[in-house]
Amino acid sequence: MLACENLRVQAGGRPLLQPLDLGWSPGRVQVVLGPNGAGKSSLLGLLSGLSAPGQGQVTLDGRGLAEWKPAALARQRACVPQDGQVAFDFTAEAVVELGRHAHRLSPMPQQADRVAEVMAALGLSELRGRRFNSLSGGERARVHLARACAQIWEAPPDGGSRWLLLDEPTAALDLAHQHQSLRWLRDWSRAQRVGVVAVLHDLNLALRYADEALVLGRQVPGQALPEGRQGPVRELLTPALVRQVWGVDCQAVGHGGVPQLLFG
Amino acid sequence: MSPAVIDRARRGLLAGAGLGAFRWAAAAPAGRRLVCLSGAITEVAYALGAGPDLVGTDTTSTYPEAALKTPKVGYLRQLSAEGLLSLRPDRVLGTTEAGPATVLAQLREAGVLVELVQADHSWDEVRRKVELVGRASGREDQARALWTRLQAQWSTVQQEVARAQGQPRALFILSHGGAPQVAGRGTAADAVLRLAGARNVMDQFEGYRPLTAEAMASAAPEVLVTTTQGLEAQGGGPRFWQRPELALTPAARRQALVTLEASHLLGFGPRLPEAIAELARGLRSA
Amino acid sequence: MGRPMGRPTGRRLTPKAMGGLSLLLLAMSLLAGSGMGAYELGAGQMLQALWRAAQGLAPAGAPDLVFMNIRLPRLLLGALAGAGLGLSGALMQGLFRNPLADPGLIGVSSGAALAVGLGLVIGANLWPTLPRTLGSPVLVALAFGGGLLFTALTCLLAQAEGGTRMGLMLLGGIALNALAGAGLGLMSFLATDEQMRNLQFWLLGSLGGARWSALAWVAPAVLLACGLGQGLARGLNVLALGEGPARLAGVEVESLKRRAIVASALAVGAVTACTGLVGFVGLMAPHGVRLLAGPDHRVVLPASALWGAALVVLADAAARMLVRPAELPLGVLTAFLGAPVFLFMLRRQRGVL
Repeated sequence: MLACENLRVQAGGRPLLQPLDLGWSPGRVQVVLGPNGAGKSSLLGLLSGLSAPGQGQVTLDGRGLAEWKPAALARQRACVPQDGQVAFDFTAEAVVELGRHAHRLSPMPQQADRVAEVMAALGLSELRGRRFNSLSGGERARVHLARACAQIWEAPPDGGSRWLLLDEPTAALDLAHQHQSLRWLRDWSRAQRVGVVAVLHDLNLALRYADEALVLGRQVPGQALPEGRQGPVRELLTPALVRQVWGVDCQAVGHGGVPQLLFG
Repeated sequence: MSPAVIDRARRGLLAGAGLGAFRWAAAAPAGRRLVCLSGAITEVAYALGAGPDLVGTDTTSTYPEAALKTPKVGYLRQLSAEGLLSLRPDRVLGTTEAGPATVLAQLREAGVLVELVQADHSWDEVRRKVELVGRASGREDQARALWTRLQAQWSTVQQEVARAQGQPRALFILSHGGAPQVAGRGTAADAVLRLAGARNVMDQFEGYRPLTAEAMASAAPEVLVTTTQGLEAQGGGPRFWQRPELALTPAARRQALVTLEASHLLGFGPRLPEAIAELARGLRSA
Repeated sequence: MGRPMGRPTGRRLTPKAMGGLSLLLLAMSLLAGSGMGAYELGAGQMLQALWRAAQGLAPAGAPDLVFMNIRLPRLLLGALAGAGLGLSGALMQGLFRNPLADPGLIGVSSGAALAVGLGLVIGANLWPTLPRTLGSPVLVALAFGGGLLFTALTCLLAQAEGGTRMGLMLLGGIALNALAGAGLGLMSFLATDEQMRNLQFWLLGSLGGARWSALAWVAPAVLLACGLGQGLARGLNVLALGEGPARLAGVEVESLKRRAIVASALAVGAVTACTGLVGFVGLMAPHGVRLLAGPDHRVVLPASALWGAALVVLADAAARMLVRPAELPLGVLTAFLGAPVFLFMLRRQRGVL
């Protein structure tokens, strides 16, 4: 379980949300939606442990993030950055191998095998020997995804939960890869019981591939999150909510059993 | 050290290293292989006829001409142990300015006799140098003879200086190529000016300091002294007087400048009597 | 020539091949260096000298002495100096995530230089009997202390919420370097002719002060730094992702920074104290290694030390031979070699910087 208790989310010194008591479960794809400036990235930063909250705490499997050792935490929680140039001339394969850092002491089969496995699973095998910094933006994003997955590839022996936190993972990807990556994430999260928490802008992708959503935005600063902002995504994302939070009119249509929103 | 001197020394160094290293190393007989550090000591060596015994000199040894052809072991403050030892010297003669200390220690460890004299810018310094070289090269008789001659020259010069009228207010300018510096107390130039019967107007400080126009004006020197190398570096006589700092001095109005070659004037070697005499004459006739 | 798109990296040496090549390079440079010098020494004489030393006998005769007391310690100091400088260069480049970073960025070289300047000039005036010529233990101690002090100051300036900020460290280092420069300028102004020349020669760098007593403490310092550094290799690899991502991947970034700076300051401080300022080795050695074997720090760190060692040994051989029986300052040679390499690197990096 990934949870936050009494969390105060701030952005640029301004309080966005307080207090926040939320939980996420593994084995599902949970998205964080909202307009710009709503605090999505700030929340993700707090959930990952990269930034420390002024008040309240984030807990993973019941323990506050501050109590975790960095290596142990890394084996159960990985983040995919929005952007990532890598210093020096590493190959794509070497970048993915960097994700195995937290596993360097455990008695496991050869790291190279794991890396190959992850890259194959994500369809990145032809990129292995290529210079990372010369790949296209989309290819780099996918390699970072592979790296993060490699970081939490194995289930921890004590049965703890694993988490993948992504900040706009589809931003650099082309249409085909957007769907391919999210589909893969959904399948993987269900098969491996990994909790996926992703910030997304595209509501239709969220409707198609996510299980639950948390909608931030249009809240009164300093006030708690209003009702009806967290829940199963297909029930939550109604045109009424969209109008209220994003200020945009849309129409819901069915498409192969999945609701989609038509804008314009 | 003015650039022109260094240039000549550099050329001599490269030439000497290239050509003469082993030829000269073979020339002197065993037991009498000398390395002389500092121009004055080299001059004394040649004056005593110990030229054939010299297997190496430092870059400040530029007089006589023959000294330029000896292998150069580097600048006297930055010597090379292995380089010196490759010349197989028996003795190394120098002033206390020679260094670094580790190299001198390494030479001594290798069995080389390293003898240094104190450099205190006095006439006695010359005597010490003559005595040192005489003893080291086994030419004590020639050394005594030389010293007698020099002593006689010196007394003549001293008398001339004593007889001369007045005490000209003088100032010594040194140019390394950067900003020109004037000589204060404790420098070789200061000693030389006093020995020539002049008054160094810049005696408020020690060592060399850069010129400032106000200091120059208030010091009001009547005569300026510089080295020929320094003058060349400044671009010659007319360019020298164009310097704004000098414009307000009495010396500038009279265009009173005395120049001598650097190692001659400041070396404190056997040519010191001649140098002082020339300087004294120059100061009064400028 | 546009940006290369998705090019493969080209053939890179495997770690084993790189290790073998680096050791071979060092061995060859030591052999070459031992055979070169103003004093004529044959291989037989050198082996004899070593044999006598191995038996515990004191050196006998000039060739023995020249080899055992002058040439051999100089070779070893050169190798250690190059190793320390090469390693520190690689560490700093890993830490700043930039192949143009240099050990001087943390202030250790300028701190040493300023301390030496103060010692030579002010020290001479206050304590006239103090041995203040090059190579004296007092100057060495001053240089080492000054280097460490300046590094500590640079680190202090870099402290911000959340730990050490490399950007602040860079700027702090620049500011302290400027301060040291001003201090040195003042020392130059106050110095006598003799002090000036001594300071100048120290600033140009030289292995002329190589003695067994110096090696006795430089060797442990450099070797310790190498040991410390090797433990940081994997962390430095991950740091290439950026500090945030590295932290998220399980690297203790603040500890990594601290240890890298300590190792670097230790190595460069010890070396600079004995040899004066020798530049560009920390830039050239890691660059060459990365070109041949890629950026993995597990290879780059030790190989940079080996290549740096070979580089300095060869540069010093040139310094001793080009104008024999005089010698050129080592820093001049490394600068002549290094400046074109640096310019070349700048040209190659221009697409990225």
